[in-house]
Amino acid sequence: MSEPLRYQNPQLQDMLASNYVAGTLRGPARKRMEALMRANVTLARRVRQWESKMQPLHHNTQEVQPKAATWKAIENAINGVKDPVVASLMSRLNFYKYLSAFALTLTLALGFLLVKPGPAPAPTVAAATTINYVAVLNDNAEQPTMVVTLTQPNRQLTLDMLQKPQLQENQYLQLWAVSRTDGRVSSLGTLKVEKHIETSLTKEEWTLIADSEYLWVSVENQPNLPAPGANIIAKGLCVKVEGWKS
Amino acid sequence: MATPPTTATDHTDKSVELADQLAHLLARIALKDQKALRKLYDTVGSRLNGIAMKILWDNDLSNDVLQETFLQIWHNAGEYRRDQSEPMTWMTSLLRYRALDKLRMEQREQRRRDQYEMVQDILGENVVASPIKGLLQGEVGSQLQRCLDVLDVANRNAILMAYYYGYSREDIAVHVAQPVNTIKSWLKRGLARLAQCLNP
Repeated sequence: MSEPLRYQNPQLQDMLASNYVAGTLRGPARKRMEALMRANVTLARRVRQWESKMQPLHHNTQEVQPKAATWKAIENAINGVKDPVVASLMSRLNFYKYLSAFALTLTLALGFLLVKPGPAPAPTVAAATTINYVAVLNDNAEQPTMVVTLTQPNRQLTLDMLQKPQLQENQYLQLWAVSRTDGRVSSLGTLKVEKHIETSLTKEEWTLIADSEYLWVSVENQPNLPAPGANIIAKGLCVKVEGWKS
Repeated sequence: MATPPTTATDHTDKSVELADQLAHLLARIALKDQKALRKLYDTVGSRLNGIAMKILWDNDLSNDVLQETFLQIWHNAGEYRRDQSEPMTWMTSLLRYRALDKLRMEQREQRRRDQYEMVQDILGENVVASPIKGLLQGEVGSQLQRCLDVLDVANRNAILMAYYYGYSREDIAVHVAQPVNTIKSWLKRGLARLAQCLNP
């Protein structure tokens, strides 16, 4: 199907091209423009011209060193290697899987040793809890610093601090969920500074977890703030996991 | 021995030399040379990441966009045409459009409407620290700088907020407390005058 004749009008082409390059065409309007550019070489050329005209604005833009993981991710994607973030997450998760299995074995063994001999109790089967979500939170140097696991039956959140952050007096740690749907950052409450924390979430908080892409931990000067300040000390992808038992 | 001062000609020579080098790397990347991609990344990665940061204000997202852009360069380097744009312009455009898509996908626009103070700085209430003022004072291409300088301040700020910081018309409207239609006409008028000035 041929494009409407009005798109041959140089003034309209220039207006569309400048708006496209300025970034004010969004969503479906951008897609329509891109389809038009594929069909209309002159329009595409006008866009290239506008890009060249505006490029000098970037001459003095401050450079920002990319994260070390970014090049690795590019290299791995090109060579068909599994995403290093996912690979590293899975390897850390395996560590926790084995650690929790070891802890369970140790608990059972200790329990067996400490229980007084007596009439044989009815055999009990430890109901293994299914882990539903896991997030390994990295610090700003991209080192793992906290691990969060979430289990459904009692909406339990467990947080293990691999390295306890140093807080000053009147500073608080706060946990946040970043929504996958709309990018909103919602509070999951203030955390105690302890190696191992367990807490039950409300239904609303569980919904935030189910919708979260990332979990963040921030340092705040007041407890239970509605929005995080600038001091985010740990971030990690929140991953849904199936069939894991602790 | 004192170093001779850098002249405009030196600057241009260096720019041409860099553009030639980047075009050569893109040609090698089109032949699937991974070393050339690494060299390109080392040469322009930080600069492109800085441009993405201006739009996204998030280190994780800007790195995501940088990664996607380099994969796009890897797959599409064969489509690059030096006679249509300089290498840096081509790569910056790939990156900017991806950053704008990411902004929309992450629905960051809504959140950014709360960042009132930052926008006041951008708009120049705090004139000394205004990034837009910095843009105009820096060594921006002289023709573009001259043309931006003669625009009405509201029109110019709307263009720079949209182009450099990725603000949508709705975001700009919220921040300057004007109807969206006013912003549309500022942008329309500003871009039309800019076009006239750049192509007399």
